[in-house]
Amino acid sequence: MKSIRTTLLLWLTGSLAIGIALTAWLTYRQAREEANEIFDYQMQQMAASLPSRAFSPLAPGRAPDPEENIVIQIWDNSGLRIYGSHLEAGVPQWAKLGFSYVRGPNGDWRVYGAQLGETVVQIAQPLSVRRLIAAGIALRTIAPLLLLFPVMALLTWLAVGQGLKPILRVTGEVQRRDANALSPLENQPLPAEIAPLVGALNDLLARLDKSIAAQRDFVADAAHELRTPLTALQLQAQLAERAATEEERRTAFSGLKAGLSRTQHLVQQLLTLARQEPGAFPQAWTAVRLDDMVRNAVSDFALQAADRGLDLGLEQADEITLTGHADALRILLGNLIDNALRYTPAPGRIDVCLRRTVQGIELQVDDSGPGIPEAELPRVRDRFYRVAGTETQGSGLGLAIVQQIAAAHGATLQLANRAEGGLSARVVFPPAQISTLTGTA
Amino acid sequence: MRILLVEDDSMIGASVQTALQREGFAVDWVRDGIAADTALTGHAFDLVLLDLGLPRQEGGTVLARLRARRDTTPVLILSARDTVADRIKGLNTGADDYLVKPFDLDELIARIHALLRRQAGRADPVIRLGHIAIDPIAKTTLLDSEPVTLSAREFALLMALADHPGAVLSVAQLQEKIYGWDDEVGSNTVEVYIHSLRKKLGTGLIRNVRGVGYVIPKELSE
Repeated sequence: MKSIRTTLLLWLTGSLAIGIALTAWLTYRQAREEANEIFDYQMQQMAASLPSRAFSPLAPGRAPDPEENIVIQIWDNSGLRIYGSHLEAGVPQWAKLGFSYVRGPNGDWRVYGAQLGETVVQIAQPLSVRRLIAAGIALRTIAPLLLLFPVMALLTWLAVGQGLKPILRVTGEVQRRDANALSPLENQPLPAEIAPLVGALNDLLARLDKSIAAQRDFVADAAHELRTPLTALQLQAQLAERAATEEERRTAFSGLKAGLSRTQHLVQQLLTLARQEPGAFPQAWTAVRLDDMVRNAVSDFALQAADRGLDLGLEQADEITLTGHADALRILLGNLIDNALRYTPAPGRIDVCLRRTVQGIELQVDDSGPGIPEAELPRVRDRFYRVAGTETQGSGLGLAIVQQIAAAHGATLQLANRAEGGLSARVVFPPAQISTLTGTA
Repeated sequence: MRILLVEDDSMIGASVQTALQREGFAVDWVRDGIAADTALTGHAFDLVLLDLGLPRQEGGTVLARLRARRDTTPVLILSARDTVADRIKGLNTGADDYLVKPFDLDELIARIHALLRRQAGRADPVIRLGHIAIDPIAKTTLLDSEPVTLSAREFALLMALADHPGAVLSVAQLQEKIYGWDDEVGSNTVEVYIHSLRKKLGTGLIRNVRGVGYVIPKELSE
């Protein structure tokens, strides 16, 4: 795992090291230049102060400092060397006048030649001496800087620790929580760098809290709704148990069967609703021939409708290909028709219609049933809401499922009572939902 | 014993009605809060089985209005609302008992008998009237420790009178107690049953108060 502290330490010490190295290099360069000037001047002075007579001994005070490794040679005008000091240093033979750099067998030399009367004087010094002196100066300059390393490391360590304290606090706060505590984290005294993170975390917590609360409500509602058919089942089972005559037993068992199929329907609808929950079930978006689907649904329900004395028919089916979840759309269609079948008394009529309009695609199921009281229209799509006094056994989930599937397709569910009586349920898909594959299917 | 059942679910309502009728109760069944109100203001019931989540008017409102009319009819709430808070609220509104759905039929019947006993001011589950012992739960009648066979209607009529010894009940009141709305009632059937009961249990048990109705003398219960 990458630690901010280590990363910061590496970066800071690295830049410090580069800074010190740069300082050392510059100091060395400057010191060398200064040393050159001083020594060149000294060499000039030395040459000037040599006795013009080569034979006179060199003044002891004038003897070159052996530390400085200065080599002096003197030639007479015939080219004969009449004086030489420290010749063992391997000084090059050079008789050029003025300053020059000379490469010798043991390194580079600074050489100064001058004409003194009849003699030629040459003063040479190895450059290594000058370099050493410059390096010494540079080292002495940067030595105190090196002390900065441990001091800076320590300070960085402490500063990072101090700066990260709020993170530790937030971590502790998160760790102490159990899964049910989704209240926002304390966001007050936080540095500007961490506050957005905690803010984003709080946003997520709020969304989670909302979705968990919705889920919890749904489970509670579902459990509550399951109680009613279960109560009926238990009563019917007990009635069957204590039936005294064959007739009573038959009645009780047919009641029990009806109770079972009702419970089954509710469980099936609950499952469908859970599956249509956003993100609950991955479903592929495909191009769906909606008109074919509508035709199939109408023929699937035709027998059931005829048994109940209802006239179910397809009024119009424009050729439409929609981008959507095929299974979900089939459930939507099935629920709309099933609803109409359940709540329309015989003799009655149910018209299904699929058409393309300026608003998009309209899927409409009209029935000749009792409709829904205007006051209850906005509520019937709520989960488990059932219109008061409804005799028909229903789960109260049909329209909630339709609503959910419609929303997933960007469509709206519109419910209205028809002027001639009955309910008109219309799902309007936006034009954007029309598949670009239209015509190729 | 006449019971008003207030339940909007048709399957549950039909089952409870059938079961209680087999127990010898006259059961009237309404499916919403307004109908319950109407039934309770127009008729006398020995007990009310009340669902809470009702269309048109909440069960709690029906109960509150009943108690506001100073009606002391025992009320047993049958509800899917199972939290302690719900039960406390129901009882504090004036209910005598609270049963959570799904419930056991036998428990429901036992609780109904317990409530009826309490309403009559009895603790003994067996009603003793002189030489006669009536067990409303087993639906048996003993005369000098010998079992007597009674028809369901005869037993219901005997129970109606035995529940409140000393109270004179008119023929119309007795009819209400043994017949539900849906039952066919023949004229003078009550008199026929009274005659039959007297023959089986002795003439001293049920007395006629001329022009008023019938009564079981209070001193028999002491």
